[in-house]
Amino acid sequence: MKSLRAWWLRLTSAFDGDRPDRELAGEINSHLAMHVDDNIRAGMTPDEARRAALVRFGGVEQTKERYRDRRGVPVLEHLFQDLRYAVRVLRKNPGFASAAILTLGLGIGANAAIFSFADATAFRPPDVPRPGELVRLFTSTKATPYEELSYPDYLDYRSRNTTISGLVAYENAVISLARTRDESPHLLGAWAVSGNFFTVLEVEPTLGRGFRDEDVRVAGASPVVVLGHRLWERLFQSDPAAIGAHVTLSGHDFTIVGVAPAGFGGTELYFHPDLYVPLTMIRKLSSGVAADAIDNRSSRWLTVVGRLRPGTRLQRATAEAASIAAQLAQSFPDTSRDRAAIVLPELTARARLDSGGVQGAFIMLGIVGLVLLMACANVANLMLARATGRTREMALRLAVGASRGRLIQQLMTEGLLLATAGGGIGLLLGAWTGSFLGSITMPTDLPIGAEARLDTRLLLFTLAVTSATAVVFGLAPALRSTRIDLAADLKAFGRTTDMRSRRFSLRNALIATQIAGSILLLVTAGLAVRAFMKARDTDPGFRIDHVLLLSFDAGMAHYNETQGRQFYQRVLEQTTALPDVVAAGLVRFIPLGISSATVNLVIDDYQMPAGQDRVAVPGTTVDAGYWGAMRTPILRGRAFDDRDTATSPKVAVINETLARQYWPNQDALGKALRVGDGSGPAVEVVGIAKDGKYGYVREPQQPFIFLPFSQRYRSAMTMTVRTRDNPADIAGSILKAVRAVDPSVPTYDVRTLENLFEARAMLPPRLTSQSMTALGLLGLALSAIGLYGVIAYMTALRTREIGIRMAIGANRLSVVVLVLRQMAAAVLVGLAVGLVLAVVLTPLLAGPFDIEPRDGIVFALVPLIVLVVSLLAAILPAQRAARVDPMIALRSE
Amino acid sequence: MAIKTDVWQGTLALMVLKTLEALGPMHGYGVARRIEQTSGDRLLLNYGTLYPALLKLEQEGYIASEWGVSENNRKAKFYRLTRAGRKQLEKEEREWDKTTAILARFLSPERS
Repeated sequence: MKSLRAWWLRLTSAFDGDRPDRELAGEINSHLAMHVDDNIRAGMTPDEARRAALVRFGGVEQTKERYRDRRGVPVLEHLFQDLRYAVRVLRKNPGFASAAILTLGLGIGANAAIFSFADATAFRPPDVPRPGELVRLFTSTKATPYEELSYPDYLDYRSRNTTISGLVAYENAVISLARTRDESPHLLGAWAVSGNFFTVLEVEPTLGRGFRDEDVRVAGASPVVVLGHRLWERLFQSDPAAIGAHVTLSGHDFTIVGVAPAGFGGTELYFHPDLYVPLTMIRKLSSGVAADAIDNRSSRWLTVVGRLRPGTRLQRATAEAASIAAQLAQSFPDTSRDRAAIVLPELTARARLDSGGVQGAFIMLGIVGLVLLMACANVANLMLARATGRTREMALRLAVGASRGRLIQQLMTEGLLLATAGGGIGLLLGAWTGSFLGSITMPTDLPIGAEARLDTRLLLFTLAVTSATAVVFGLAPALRSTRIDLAADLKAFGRTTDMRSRRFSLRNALIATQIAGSILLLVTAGLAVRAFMKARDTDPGFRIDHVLLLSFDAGMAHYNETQGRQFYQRVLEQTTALPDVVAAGLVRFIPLGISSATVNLVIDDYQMPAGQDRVAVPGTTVDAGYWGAMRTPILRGRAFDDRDTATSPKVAVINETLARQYWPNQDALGKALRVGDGSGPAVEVVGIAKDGKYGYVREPQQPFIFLPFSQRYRSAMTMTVRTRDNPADIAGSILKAVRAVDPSVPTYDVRTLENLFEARAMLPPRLTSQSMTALGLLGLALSAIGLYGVIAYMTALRTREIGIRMAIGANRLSVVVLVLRQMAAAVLVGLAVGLVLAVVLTPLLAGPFDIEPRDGIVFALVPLIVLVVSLLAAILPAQRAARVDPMIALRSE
Repeated sequence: MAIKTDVWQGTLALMVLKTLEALGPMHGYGVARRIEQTSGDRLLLNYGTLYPALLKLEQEGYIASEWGVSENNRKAKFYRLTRAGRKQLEKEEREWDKTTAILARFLSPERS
């Protein structure tokens, strides 16, 4: 009770202003006056009496300080006081303040930007309540450690497990949507989800309802759809009347029953579904799903996500999944023998499946953290320099009763103020760069792409970085500058000439750190630039200019093979009839596009490695016109042509690498292979195409096989159209021509090959090299500014000494050398440490960024650049010192 | 012999309360002098330390203060014991007695 009351009084008195101060001063005065009266009465002279009274009282100012501490809440009161003081101090030094704030702003901004990007591509948990409970369930064999589940498997795991409170399954599907049957459909990304999807994830639809288990019970019987929030806005302008409305999905009539909430975009980082349909409706919507997909235990296509029961340990869930897997293996030996199950937390699963992305995110954060560290070192340096100038102020304040802790607190407050201002700028910078990075999209109409955004996670991150920053750059200078020899420093007017004092060794360490940091950053940047240059100079194996791409899916219009072939035949006819078109062809997966496939092959002449009965080779299906449109030369043999029909002998075209790899020292032309498990007919190699790039542009040379469209129908194909002039200009007329053929088949992903190539092949290395170069230059600038500041400051301190040296005959050059020598050791140590770190650390870049870590040119050039820049940064102030007039320098004190 | 000593906070508070009980309302200087006299000048206070102690007692509600005029016509802040202060004084006196009794047994065990 008592202490509560005391605290209340203390709290409220924090807002009393200076009235209590005046009262205390009055009380002390009256005390002294009475004491003096007594002393005089005892026979002292007035002077003696006053001195004696003061001595007996002890320190008047110390008493006031202690009284103040007792009166209010010191921390709070001091904070206000310190903030006011800090604002005043910084206002008086606008140069220092703006330099520090800008430096920190750049450092924090770079961090915020990279974090928002890394969060969008690697770390952000799904937008559902308590995302930490989410786990992924995989089945696994020795060969494939993380495999999806089949629908029967999913149902068994869902009903038998007790550790996971709900298990949902879903599959991505590309479907077409039209408002009416006559409207030309467009393509959307859908999730076919289990009936408990919304309830288990605890996602409450904004409108209408989510799904129920009845919606999936009978395959194909429940044509209902839940729209994503964005699609609802786009299609229905957020009209609530959308509930109950009908839409045509892939040619089937569906009823809208709900709208998902605004923030919810599925549980994945890259695929944000436009709409949701019941899982068992997928056969009707997507041509890519096998007829028995729902019933077949060995067709594993479902992503399975669960919520761990609260308080359940992951190990229990894993153990239980393993025991269910064992039961299934016993009951269904044909499909489930040797198949285990594994439960992983959602975030862990991401890191396992996309280790490059997560590693890359960590590496980028590390790099940008280094930049921030350098910014901190810079500001710490500035603060140290200022602190030396403030030695006298500190000594004075200690003398009049401030404790050292109090001074440190005050200096830290100044640091915090700087960091907060820097953090503000950083957040703006980060949000701006982040929104730029977020605007980068994948070259497709589908809702695929990372979403960088300004959210609470970014705010919290920036806040944490800002406060950590304040401690990092504020603490060391605060500790240093309050360690003071009172008597000496009061006399010395804040001028020290002792160059070997510890303050300078700390400063040297900071300089060395910055040099090492900038070496590391620049080497990284240099390697990234070299990787980009290599990517740019790579021959993709086709000409990227003057080609327009258009994708179709005849399956969306429910065409069978005959109808589909007719459709593609007419599309090609209509297109090549246009005056501007040079050639046109069809391909299932465009090289370097976002999708690809592998083909299983059994090669008669090839001795398989032990335990393997087929090889998986990247490949695709093309028609006869493809190579001509893409300008990919057939080196030997022939391309597909009219001879190759559904009934003619099976043929294939392979690339040079495939030929070399599987028919070493032989001519592959005319040789036979079999597609699939080897039971099918022999396929003759009729042509060998020039090597190219298929998956990504820096890939090692891959084997590749082309199979003829005429013998291998695919309902979804991309048309490649070579044009005489700019393909973008005639995109409209081509589109009109093909729409006229059949408006019910959706046309999508209409773009130039150049555009696709730019986005898929060049953008990643360009983005990496640009951001790393920006960070490298920022680091170099920071270390140059730091070095400049330190040399300028230290030569200013030595003005007098330099004056003496020049007065007794030193020339300018020797003065410059003297100044430079002082920094040389720190710079060289930094150089060496930086190079060693670069050699050790850069191999980390190889995996996630496809950057070769060993590059002689970069490793030779970077130290040279850093050395030259350091020399320039140091020579400017050194020269200024040497220009000093000895007489003025000597008089300066 | 005079001991110049940093008086232990708790003890100083007790001395202040006891002094105010004996003298009635009194200003800080008077309290300080009285403590010295009572100690037979064996205790030399740093007078400055008295004021934070007075403030603490006031915040805890054991004493109250108001401005008045001293015997020599000086304006001074007078402190007086409150009811809570009186109770606290009794309590602390009891505890002090107990403590000193225990200590006494330790220091001269042969007498017990």
